[in-house]
Amino acid sequence: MLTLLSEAPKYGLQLRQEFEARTGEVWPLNVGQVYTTLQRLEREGHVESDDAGRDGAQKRYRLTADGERELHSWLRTPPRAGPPPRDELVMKVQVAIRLTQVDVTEILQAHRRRIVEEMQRYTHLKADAAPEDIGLGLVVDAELFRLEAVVRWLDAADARLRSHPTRPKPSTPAADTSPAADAQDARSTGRTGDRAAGARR
Amino acid sequence: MSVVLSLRQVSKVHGSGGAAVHALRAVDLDVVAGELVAVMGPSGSGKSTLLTIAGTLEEPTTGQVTVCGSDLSTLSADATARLRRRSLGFVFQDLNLLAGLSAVENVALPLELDGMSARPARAAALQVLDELGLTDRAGHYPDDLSGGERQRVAIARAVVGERQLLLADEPTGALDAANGEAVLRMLRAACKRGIAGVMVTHDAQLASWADRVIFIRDGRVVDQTAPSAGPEALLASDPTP
Amino acid sequence: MTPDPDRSRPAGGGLAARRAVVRWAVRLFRREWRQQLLAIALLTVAVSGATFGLAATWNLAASSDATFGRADQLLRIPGDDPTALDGRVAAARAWFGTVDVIGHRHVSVPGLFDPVDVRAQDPAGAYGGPMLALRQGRYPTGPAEVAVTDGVARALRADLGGPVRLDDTDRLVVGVVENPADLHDEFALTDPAHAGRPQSVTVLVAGDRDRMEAFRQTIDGPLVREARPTAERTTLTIAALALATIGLLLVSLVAAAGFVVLAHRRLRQLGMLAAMGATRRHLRLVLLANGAAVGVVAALGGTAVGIIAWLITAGFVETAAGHRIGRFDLPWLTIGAGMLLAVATATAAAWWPARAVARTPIVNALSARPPIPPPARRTAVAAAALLAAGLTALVLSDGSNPLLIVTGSVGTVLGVLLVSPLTIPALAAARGGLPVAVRLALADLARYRVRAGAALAAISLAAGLSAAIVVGSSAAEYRTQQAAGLGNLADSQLLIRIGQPEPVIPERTAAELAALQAQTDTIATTVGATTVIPLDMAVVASYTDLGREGRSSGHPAVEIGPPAAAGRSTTSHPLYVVNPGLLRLNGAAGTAVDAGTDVLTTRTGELALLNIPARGVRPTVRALPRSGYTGLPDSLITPAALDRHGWQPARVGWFLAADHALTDAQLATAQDLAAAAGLTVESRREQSSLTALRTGATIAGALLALGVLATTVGLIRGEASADLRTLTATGAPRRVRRTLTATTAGALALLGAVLGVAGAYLALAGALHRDLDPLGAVPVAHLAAITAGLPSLAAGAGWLLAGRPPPSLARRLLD
Repeated sequence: MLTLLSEAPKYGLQLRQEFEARTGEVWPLNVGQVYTTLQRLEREGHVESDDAGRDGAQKRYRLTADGERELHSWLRTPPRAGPPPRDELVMKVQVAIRLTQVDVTEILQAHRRRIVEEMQRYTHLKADAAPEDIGLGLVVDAELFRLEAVVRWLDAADARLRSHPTRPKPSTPAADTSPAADAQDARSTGRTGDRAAGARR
Repeated sequence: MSVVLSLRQVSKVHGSGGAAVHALRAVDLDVVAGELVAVMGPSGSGKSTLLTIAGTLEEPTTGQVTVCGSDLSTLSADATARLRRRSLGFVFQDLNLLAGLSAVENVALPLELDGMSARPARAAALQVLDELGLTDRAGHYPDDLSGGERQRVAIARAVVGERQLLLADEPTGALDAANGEAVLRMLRAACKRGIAGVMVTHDAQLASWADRVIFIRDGRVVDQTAPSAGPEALLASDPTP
Repeated sequence: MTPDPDRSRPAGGGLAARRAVVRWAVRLFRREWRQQLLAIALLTVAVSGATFGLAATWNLAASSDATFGRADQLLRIPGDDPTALDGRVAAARAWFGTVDVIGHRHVSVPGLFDPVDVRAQDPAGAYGGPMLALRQGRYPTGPAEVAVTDGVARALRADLGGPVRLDDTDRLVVGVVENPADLHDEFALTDPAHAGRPQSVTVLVAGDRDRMEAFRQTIDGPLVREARPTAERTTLTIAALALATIGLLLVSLVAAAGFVVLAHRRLRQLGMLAAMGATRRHLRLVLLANGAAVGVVAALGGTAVGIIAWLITAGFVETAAGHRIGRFDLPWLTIGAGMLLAVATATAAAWWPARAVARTPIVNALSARPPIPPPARRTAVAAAALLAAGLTALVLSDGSNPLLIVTGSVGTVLGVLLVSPLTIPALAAARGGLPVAVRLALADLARYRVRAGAALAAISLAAGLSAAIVVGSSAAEYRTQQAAGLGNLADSQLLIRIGQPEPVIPERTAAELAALQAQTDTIATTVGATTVIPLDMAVVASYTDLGREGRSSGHPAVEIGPPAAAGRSTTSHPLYVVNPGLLRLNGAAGTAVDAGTDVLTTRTGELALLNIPARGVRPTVRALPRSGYTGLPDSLITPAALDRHGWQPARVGWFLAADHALTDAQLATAQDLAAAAGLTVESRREQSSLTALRTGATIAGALLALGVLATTVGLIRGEASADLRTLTATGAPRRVRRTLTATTAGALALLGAVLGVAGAYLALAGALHRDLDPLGAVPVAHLAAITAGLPSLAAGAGWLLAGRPPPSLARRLLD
């Protein structure tokens, strides 16, 4: 939602149609949901409407600076554990491709690192447990294979992006000079790490 | 903890002029004793080159490599050979063992190359094989061993003696899950005993065995995992019981 | 860390490391020797050839054992003065300690031209052992017993156990003896304890020449002494070993190419070894040890095969050698040296690939990327340079300087061997428009250029050697035919000489001559001769030659030959007095000979009359047409010349010609009759033709080349088996597989044969450049067998044997 708004100020109905079109119409969305969400976002200060006096259907919403920050941090937030979150991840990557401000590769890497870190935890759990603990092994393996699939998807996405860039590379020099890239890595590592910890709590 | 392997601003260029390929660009890496580091990246990312340079098999175009306290650029060819047989161990994806030598002879070979006479070398090799649960395979020839057993013998050979650095290139490449896990358990155990390990892979499952995962892309280290959070954190937050 | 590992263990790994590396190399060799079959087979053949050659030269060379036994020196003391003889023998015994005394009496036997040597020799003598062996019966004891050689038994018509009259004594033949070191040595053996006064005595003694000279100083008067020639057969054997060395060197060149292939195949494992910390020296050692292992196997196998071949053939060569051959009397030291040499050359052959491997970067080795082969242009330049140098040396040698010949041959062979791999791409380039299977086979040959090149070099070597023998022997035969013509006589002709054919003609009475004429007529009747031509020679009646030892004196017969330069000997030929029969025989029947002509002859060049008191007598010569036979009376002196010089004609023999080839039985009878009458008969001597040698060389070369081919084709098809499977999967019939193999084999064989023959001709043309005529006599059949037969045979065998896919594939692909 925020992503759609980040492109340009839009009307509520327009937002619903575009959302459905971009996500391949797998998740139908009713008008009520759209407006509830928008109202919540407005309450939180992420969006603002240009005409407060008129009825909801005619309102045009646009992203606030706060909303833009929220968008960026949301994009980096790993999908929830539990039921396969890949659709969320796919969506995020889909969305990220459209954004000029973000480096998709870097976003993919951020996810990859997070997932690998999680896999490390599972693997170490398995490694430190006795090989006889079959129950644990089964559960951990299940998680590992699921996570590995995500990493593989990330790798595939990476390769796909690499062979067919959807748009010109962002003009930021991130990918060209290593000191800048390193700096960015360091920043993103710190931030997402905090957020992940927060989410778990 | 002592730093066993240290790479400073290491670059490697294959070829020259227009055909030059930058395999590594200004890579920095430190591996301390007792640590297992995985280097993860897609094929062609330069991870294998990183391993061969760290293993003294290749010289970097620029930069400094220090293995077990020796700056490689100052060593002669024979001295690097001695470093390899004394302090380094390699495990490749396959075809690790020399045909024509039995498992125990393969394991004893680096010791013998280092001048240990056949009998004590054999004893040391048997001890390592015993520790790794391969005693009953000691007399077998590579042709008679399964893929997993071969890789485990290769690890035994890589850790025999007073090794400090173990370098592995896709060590479970051709193995099924169960055999692969056995090999990795062994690698991890070796590192827990104080050897520094570097493992190169494109496989996340494999990489997750490491204490630290370095992500490499286009010859650059682009990212690495946070120092291990430990399984406790996982248990605390794991929604599935 | 241990206190100081540097001090506790040697820096390069020391002996323990080398032992471990060699152990691995040997294990690998045991595992993969099949892949090195080419090198092993070639070296084995070379070593067995060398061993057999050494055994043969050692044993075939006439041995001085025939006269010296085990002794180093011998004395010949005449028996004219018995006291002096006894004194000398006693002095020798006092001086040398142990001596072996052999008494000789030369006893003439009626009807026999040569006297019989009656020997008084102790069979248990200190040194004479090797000169005496018992074939049958026992050694004689007492005065009434004698043992004889088979030749003497035949001459005396004596049988074992029968009586014989010898030296005016009747004796019993109790044994058949021989001189094992010289089967042509004919004698009768008596018991030395009861022997009569010897006419001469041979004393065999030990000790060097100085000791003998010191002894000489103590003796008054002349003393005939002989020293054993300095190890002549050792010299011959060393020469054979030198030849074998050259052969081994050439073969190891081919082996080197094989080792290059091997090194490439093992590159990954060697990289692994390097990653484990092996130094470059260790890597080299792996291949060197392999080379040595190949050498050891080839040396042992080759020596065994060579010795077995010798043991089998030794019996057959005894007659030819003219002495008994102790099968196990072999030059073991030299053979051992040959074996060591084989190991050394094989190891040296592995040196180059070992060096290349040690220099390959480890990362390249681990990914089995081979070192880049030297550019073809450089090889071509080296090949051209070697060929040029080799041919120059051959041209300079003029076919006579052994050092230059050896250098030249080696250079030429090396050049051809280097050229051979370069021709493969050329062959592959010419494949357009051919069926797909043929194209594929040729492309594969180019792909596996190194291996195919090694094989091609080996095939060229085999074909070249046999071609060189074939062409060389036919050139040699051409030359001897130029010189010797068709042989001595036609098989319908007999030449009868009175006594021995010597240029001293005793005076004979008319009655004697009439008796001999009668004997000759008898012989002529026996053999059915239709023509009898009397032979007269011109003798210098005014001059009497004292006969040589044991021969009667007579007048010298005039002979002809090239004039003798000062201090040099010359070859002279008999000169017969012209008569109508001889003119007819020489194709000049009825020719009117004018009075000014001295000599009619087929010989050309400067001629002089020889064996006469005067020097430098140049006759007026008229040419006769050549008959091609060397034994014919083809130099005739005119009666006018006899008159001019005051020489007399003397009857020396008869020439008999029948209208049919004489049978062996007729010849035997003639010889018996002649021997009884004191005549000597000359008949056609079997000419040793070299055709058998050529056929043998062709067959041996073809077999060797085929062996090499089989190994190579198997290897190449093994490598290309993946292609074959793909082909089969795409529905190619069995015929395609057959065509592939047949093409590979045929192409290699053809290239090898052509290169080999070309190389052989080049080398021979270089050596014989002054007179290329001998090379004009092309042994077409044998060369055709090499150039056409070998490829067809190879292709045919390939076609037949390629029905099934090679079975050892899976194994090969594993390592």
